[in-house]
Amino acid sequence: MHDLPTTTAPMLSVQQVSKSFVGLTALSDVSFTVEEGRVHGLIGPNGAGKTTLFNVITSVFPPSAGRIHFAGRDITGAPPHRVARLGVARTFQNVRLFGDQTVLENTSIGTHRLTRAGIAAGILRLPGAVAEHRRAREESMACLAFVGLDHLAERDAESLPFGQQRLLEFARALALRPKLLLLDEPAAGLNDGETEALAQLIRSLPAKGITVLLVEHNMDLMMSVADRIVVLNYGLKIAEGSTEEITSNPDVIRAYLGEDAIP
Amino acid sequence: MPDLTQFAQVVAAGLTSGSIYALVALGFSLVFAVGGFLNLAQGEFVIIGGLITIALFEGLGVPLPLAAAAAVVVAVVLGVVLQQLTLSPERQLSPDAALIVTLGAAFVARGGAMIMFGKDPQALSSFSGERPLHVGNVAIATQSLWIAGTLAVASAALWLFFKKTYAGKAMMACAQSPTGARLVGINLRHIALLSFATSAGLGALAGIVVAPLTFVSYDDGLAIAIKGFIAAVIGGLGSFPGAVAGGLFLGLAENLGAAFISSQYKDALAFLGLLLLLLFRPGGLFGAARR
Amino acid sequence: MSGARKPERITHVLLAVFAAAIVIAFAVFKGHYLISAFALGGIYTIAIVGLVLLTGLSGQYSLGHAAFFGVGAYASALLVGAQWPPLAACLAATALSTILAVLIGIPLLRLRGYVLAVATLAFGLITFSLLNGWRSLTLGPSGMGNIPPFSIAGFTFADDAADYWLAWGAAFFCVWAGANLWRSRMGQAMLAVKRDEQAAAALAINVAATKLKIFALSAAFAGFAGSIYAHHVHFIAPERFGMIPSFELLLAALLGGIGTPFGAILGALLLIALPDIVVSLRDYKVIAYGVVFILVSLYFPHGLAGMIQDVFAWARRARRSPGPGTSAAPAS
Repeated sequence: MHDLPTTTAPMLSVQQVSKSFVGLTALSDVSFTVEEGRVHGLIGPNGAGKTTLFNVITSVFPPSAGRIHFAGRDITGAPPHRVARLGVARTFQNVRLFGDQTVLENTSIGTHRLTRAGIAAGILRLPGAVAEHRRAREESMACLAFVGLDHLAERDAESLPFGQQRLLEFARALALRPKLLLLDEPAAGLNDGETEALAQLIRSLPAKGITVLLVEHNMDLMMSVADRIVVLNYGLKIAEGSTEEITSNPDVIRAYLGEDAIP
Repeated sequence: MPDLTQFAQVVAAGLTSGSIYALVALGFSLVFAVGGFLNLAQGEFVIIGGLITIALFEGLGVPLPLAAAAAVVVAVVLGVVLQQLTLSPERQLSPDAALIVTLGAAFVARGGAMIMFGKDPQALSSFSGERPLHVGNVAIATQSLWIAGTLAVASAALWLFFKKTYAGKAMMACAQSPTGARLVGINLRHIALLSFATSAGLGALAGIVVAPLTFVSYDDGLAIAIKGFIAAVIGGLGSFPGAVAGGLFLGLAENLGAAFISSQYKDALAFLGLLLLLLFRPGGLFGAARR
Repeated sequence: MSGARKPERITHVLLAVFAAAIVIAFAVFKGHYLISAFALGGIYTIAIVGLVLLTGLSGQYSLGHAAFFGVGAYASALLVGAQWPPLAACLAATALSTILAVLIGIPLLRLRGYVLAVATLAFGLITFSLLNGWRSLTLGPSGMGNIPPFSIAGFTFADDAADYWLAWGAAFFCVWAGANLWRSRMGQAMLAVKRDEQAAAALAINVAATKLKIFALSAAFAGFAGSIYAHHVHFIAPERFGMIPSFELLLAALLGGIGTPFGAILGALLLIALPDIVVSLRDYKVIAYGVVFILVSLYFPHGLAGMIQDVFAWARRARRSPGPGTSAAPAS
């Protein structure tokens, strides 16, 4: 006899994750979950371990301790391409585009997960592969249109201004049709107008079935999109809650502004 | 069933060639640790060291210590020229591009050696005469002691250098983290130059002490470089104790394999062994690989 | 700079020009002794396309590629000697080269690229010494002769003219295949792996498997070329497959241009002209190789084809960029 599941597994479950490098503890016993369809924020002063946490989740390196579960599945230490294959996409803090390729080409590499044509099909230009390639291009154009870059599809990626490069990386991650999207400081280098446009994009993702985990220093953006926020400091989780709870939390204020800032 | 004497003989031979591999591997690891790339011209320093010593000592009657010193100096100078012209950190070559450049340099050296010293393999007389030393029933060539001694002195000197001198500690820092090292004011260009020059010197030394035991031929360079590479990988690329351990291990394994399995295919066996090792322990035998 | 940006029409035009050149060259040189040299060029093109795909598409280096070429040649010669039909021998020889590449690649491709590169150097040296030393199999340094010409289903490629069509027909297929691969899903994955392995992995690309596949493919091309080579020259010896021939193949690939499969054609033509070029260099040949190698690596990494492409790309970029007054940086 089987018990019916009473709750579906959270989209992301970080359980007691620690990560140490030689002589440096980057993360210490961090735990939180991200529910499906939410926009979850991750904040903390510089060096708090946010990007390290992203790297552990996407399996760039395994944690020293703890587990990561994605949609109920243990992905701790799995090969990074396997994690992406399961539906976890990310952007990088220092934008990592394929500079010598066009905007469209960069985006369509994101569709690799959704397509299947292998070497033989590619070499022989089998009709199935060609059709699949065309569909992938259309999907990529749709992602570019979503972020507003479709008119630049044939431009070289490295010729784009920095703010648009960030958007391109965003579009490329979307091309994976991820279930979980990790955004690492997507607003860094954007002006107010671009940041507001980005906020709208992020807010529209849950409706598309995409759960978001967002690292961002821009508090206005964070507060306008995040349902819940996790705060890290020196690798430790020091707070978690809604934006109101976080902004009035003395530990958080102390971490950011120092002892003297507590009112 | 091999007897003890034969076994001991093979072990002695293994440690001897292992010491040479260790010296070459040390040079490899030094350049790799600081510069992040593999130097396929490493074996050419060995050849240059041997051939110049032979030309000066056997050919022109220059006293041996002077000939050897001159050979080391020439190798170091050539290494410095190569590094300054093509491999300095400002060029920001990717490791693959740097590797390719060193391959080109290896060919230049090989071609130059052929023109200067001819195609015939050259011989150097033993430093301490031809009569071997007898330990029990085992005959050990006195040159083997020179080789082991060179490895011991070189290792000790390097250890002191890294632990006690500013330049050495700076080099360790560069190996750990080039950006960090730059931030604390270490001049990466000087350190890169120093590491390359030192590895050239180590290679030349190896070539000088091994010349009496084997003929030195202008085209042996790449094969030696590969042996040094295998030794360095076995011990963990970038690890200095690993380079020594890997070199000795390779020498022993090779000689034992040649004596008791097959002498003709020992190179193929060594390569196969390397593949198997990397399959199960990508970080080398001791998992000490860096980068 | 990426060959993938070449619009499809240009690829089709180049293929058409290539085909036309093959036909015209034959018409011009029919009956001339140069036909044999040109046939050799076709054979080299096949092997060099493999290198171009390996280095240009996925950023890896094979420093002992003549070994795969040699394995293909000897395997084919030996099987035909054992009464296998040449076509079957050729396929088996190609398969053997591929399998060897897979066996080497699996342990090595999880490590950084330069480890594979030096290992291919080792593989090249070891294969050469095996070809020399395993006399019972290969007849050693004196080589193996009396290799019959290639034949398919009863048709024998009995003379240089027939070999010319066989070699260049196969070369055309390989260049076409390479161009297709470059623009395909796997080709894009390989370019991503070359550019940034970590970003590629984050995009669900299996980096190690991708690198292994292209390495195996490049060995397959070389083995296939080696087989046709054996049946064209009718006599093979280990010295044709050693260190220096490997170096010459790589040099030809770099000079021809690793940015596009069409560079392989230029490289192959250079390679067949090489004996005449180096005759005056004599003893300085090896030094010249090394110097050219260094210069090309440092200053002309995309070779001849790359320089031609740069001219076209510069013109295209002038059309694409929005013009002065924006922050778009001119790409190099």
